[in-house]
Amino acid sequence: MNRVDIARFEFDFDMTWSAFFTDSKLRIYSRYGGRDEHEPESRMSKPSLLQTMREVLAAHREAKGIAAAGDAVPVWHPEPKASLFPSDMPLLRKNHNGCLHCHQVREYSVLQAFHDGRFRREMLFPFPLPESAGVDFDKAHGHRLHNLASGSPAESAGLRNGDVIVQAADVPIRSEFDFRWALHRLPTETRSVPLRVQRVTEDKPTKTSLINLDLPLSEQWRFGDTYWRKSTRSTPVDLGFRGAPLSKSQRRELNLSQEMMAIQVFSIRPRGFSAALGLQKGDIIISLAGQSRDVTTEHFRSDLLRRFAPGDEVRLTILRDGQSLELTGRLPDWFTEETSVP
Amino acid sequence: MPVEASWFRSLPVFFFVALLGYGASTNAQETIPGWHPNLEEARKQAEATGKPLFITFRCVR
Repeated sequence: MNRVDIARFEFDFDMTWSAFFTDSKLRIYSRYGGRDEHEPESRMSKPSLLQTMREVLAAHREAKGIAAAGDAVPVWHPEPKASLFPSDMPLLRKNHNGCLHCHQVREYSVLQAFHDGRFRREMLFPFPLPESAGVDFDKAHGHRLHNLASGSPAESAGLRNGDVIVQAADVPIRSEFDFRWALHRLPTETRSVPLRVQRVTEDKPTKTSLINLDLPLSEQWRFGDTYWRKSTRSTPVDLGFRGAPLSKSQRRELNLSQEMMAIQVFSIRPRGFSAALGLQKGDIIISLAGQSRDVTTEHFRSDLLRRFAPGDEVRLTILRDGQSLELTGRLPDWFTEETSVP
Repeated sequence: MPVEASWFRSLPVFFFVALLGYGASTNAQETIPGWHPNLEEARKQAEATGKPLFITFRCVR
């Protein structure tokens, strides 16, 4: 990644594979790839890649013939204002030698932002999934809607199963990942995104029409699970403790269900989150703000950051010396001493 | 088509570039001439041939 213009080739750096379709001037027709908490390739398929390729070729032909104008769907993705290379980040330039992994790009971006005083919570939640916007795409196509829930905000907005989203905000959509990039670029306070959808005409199935509508977004649309992201290890948050879920046999001994949260604190640094709530070594965390499910420590941290911002009051239920206790305190401000990534 | 499951399981990062068959059949396997490890060379070839670029990034162990 050392010589890659990461402003132009912006993708989800917690990935194993990603692709771009461009013209010879490197103007981007489409992004393809991305992953989620499941298998690295769980969001991709050969049919959807072929579908994107077909649409890219059509856009390429269109670009050779005309310049997109007026009401047309844009041919290219919006251009970055300037190039940005990993070595433009002083911390990376100072502390990193040799080959640069994708996730390290994101980790240095976060660390640099923190040390420059411009870190924002949403940086921890890149490339939201379509489901966070209340839509689900057919995996065999990429950006055709299916499984639209009756009465859902998306349906109420006018979307139907079978609609193909071809534009979101100012981004032409030719893959699911294009839609994720469009969401990624929106300010977190956005509450609706303008869409253009292609719909098959009811009485003429071979014909389609373009429809404009607004997709409402919930308050939490950006904040998805991040526990699977390798880059989250560089999150500027000081939990102040280390812990691990209890084993099945340990749970049985304590009469705790196998499905509930049971994270035992095995070491404490009396600062950050642990100090704010008064956690002690040996405590077993069994609930985060009323929710209890069997999670790893990484998942716990993801849930914490997803549901709370610095300054928010957090409530934990713990077991200490066999007694159930409620601990409350405020999530501390962002903090890290790290200036490099492993 | 140069898309295999093994592509998706890989970690140092480098990219491959391929020219996507343009104006041909939907069977891309027959129309992709080859992958280029050098973006600038591929970009020049795209310019000369009028074809779009297919640029992939992958992590390898």
